[in-house]
Amino acid sequence: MNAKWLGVALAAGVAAGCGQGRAIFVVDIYSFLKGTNTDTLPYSGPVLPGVPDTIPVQTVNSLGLTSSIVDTVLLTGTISFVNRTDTGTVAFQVYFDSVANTVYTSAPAFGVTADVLPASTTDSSFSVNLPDALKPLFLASKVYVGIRASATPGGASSPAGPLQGTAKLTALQARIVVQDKIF
Amino acid sequence: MRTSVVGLGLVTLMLGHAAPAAGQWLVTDARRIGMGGLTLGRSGSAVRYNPAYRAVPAQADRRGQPKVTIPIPLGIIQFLHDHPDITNDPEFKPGSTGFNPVLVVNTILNLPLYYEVKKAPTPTNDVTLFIARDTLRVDLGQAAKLVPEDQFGISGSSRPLDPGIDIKGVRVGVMGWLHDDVGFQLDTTLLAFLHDSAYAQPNTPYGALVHGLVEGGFAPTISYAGRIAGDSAKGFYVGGAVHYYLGVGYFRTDGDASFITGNPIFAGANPVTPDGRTLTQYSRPGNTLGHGVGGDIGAAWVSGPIELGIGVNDIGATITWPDTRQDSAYFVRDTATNRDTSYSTLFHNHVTTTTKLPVSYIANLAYTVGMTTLGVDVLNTGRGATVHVGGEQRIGLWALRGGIARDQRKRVEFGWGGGLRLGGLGLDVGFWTHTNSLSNERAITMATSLSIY
Repeated sequence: MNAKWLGVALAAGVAAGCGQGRAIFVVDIYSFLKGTNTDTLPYSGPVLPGVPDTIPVQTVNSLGLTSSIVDTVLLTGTISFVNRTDTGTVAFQVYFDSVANTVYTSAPAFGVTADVLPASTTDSSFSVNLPDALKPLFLASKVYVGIRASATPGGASSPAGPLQGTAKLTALQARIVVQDKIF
Repeated sequence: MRTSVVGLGLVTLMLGHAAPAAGQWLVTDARRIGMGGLTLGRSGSAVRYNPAYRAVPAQADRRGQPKVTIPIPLGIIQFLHDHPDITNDPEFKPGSTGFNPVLVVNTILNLPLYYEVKKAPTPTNDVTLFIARDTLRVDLGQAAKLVPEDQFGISGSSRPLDPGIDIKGVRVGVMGWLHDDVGFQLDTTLLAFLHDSAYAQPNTPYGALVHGLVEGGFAPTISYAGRIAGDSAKGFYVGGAVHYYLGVGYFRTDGDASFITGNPIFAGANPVTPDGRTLTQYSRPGNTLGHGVGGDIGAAWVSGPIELGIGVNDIGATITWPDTRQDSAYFVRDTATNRDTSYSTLFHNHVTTTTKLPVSYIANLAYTVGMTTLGVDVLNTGRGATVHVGGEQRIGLWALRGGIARDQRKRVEFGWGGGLRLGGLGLDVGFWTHTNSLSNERAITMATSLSIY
């Protein structure tokens, strides 16, 4: 994203608001994933050969305010685990990185786990403050996003699984509060 | 990036709030401020805009007007106390994390000559920008009220030098003249986006019309001012001037500056693309001089306690510039390199263009009876009329003053104050509300000045 011109969009008024107040940017990450049909990820435990447990790395256009200081980045959202078979635990992990190639080699930004039952849907909401090390990522003009889903079967009748279903992201929003004056 | 965005934002806001400021900057008389900016007799704007007033006696004693007014700049002391090292003050340094653009704008709009008794509160709300793949929306909160809905800008027409020879009311001289006019108007889409927090639409331009003009030169002038009826106590005065304007140089630009959203807005590499196009016209100093003819007229009637005046300036003052260059200037994104670029191309050269000085007018009425003076004036310098109504009551050594004004943005302001006169020396204090700051609430300025009678 060309942040300079995003700034222009705001310039006629934002400077006044930033005099004492805070600048807050709300980025709907979900909309970017949904737009490329990567908001849904099948899971299976154990992992099926040839079936990826991650989505292709996605690009989210962000702020491009690299000279600013981020106060907080709060991630909120909801995931629906649509489980088909078996009982167990599903982990849903979200990755952010400034480089596309290393998204999945770094530690996940956060993860959500849920206990699932056969033929049922489990909704999990989350609200996570990003650690300091990851906050600056959202100041760049682009943030690369990855998602991984993994399943651990735990049913007494079939402890080896397979635990299978689909993790559907239904909301993922980043609320970024910029600490200093951005304009 | 930071600087450019700051610059545009500040300029936009400053222009939106600068119009009423212009009048106040020039007022250095606490008496006048105490009367809400009222022009009385030969003070203030009357002589500038009404050529007849050159012949009207000052009548200083009758209206308690001083010969000389010396402002006491308490505001400078206040400012230096608050910002002892402005060159290294982070609040004034762009790029510093402590940089405060609101403070900078407010300082420019309210030069710290006078003491700011009550500072206008600036919006302290959070500003939120919503970004989604196909959505862009900004919520400025209370600050949205500061986004100007109408055309806004600043303009001025001044005569910095006016030397001449006066013989029996006829005056021959050479007048310097300067005219500037900067205007800005948000288009409906950008206005809705900023003011009403409307969602940005894909593939849509958001912009503003921009206009800027500065021109100057000198004008050989012949004028007359004199009393054509009555005597010094009751008389009718007229004045007029004919100017042959000679333009030394001018620069004018008209165009639009906008950004165009992508489709979907944030799906591609360029969510928004800049697009600026202007026609610039200029005649440099050294080119053939511009020329034109214009005039001023005025009349004043003094009858005992009543004084009435009306004056009009720069009537028909159209300047013809015979050697103008016209360029088309662009600021666009180069699709090949995906970089923002600016360039200009010659449109026409050595062509004749014209500019027009704004017609200014003033009307004033004063009524003095005993130790009481009341007055009203209306002044329009080309960007809306200002109205001042005020008065002064002198009680022995003391004077009490009050007034009300309507500024160019049609906001009502109040003035009040007082003074103490000891022989030939007086001390005056005046308070004036203003909305020059980046705020919709009034601030209160206290002006102080010494008067020599």
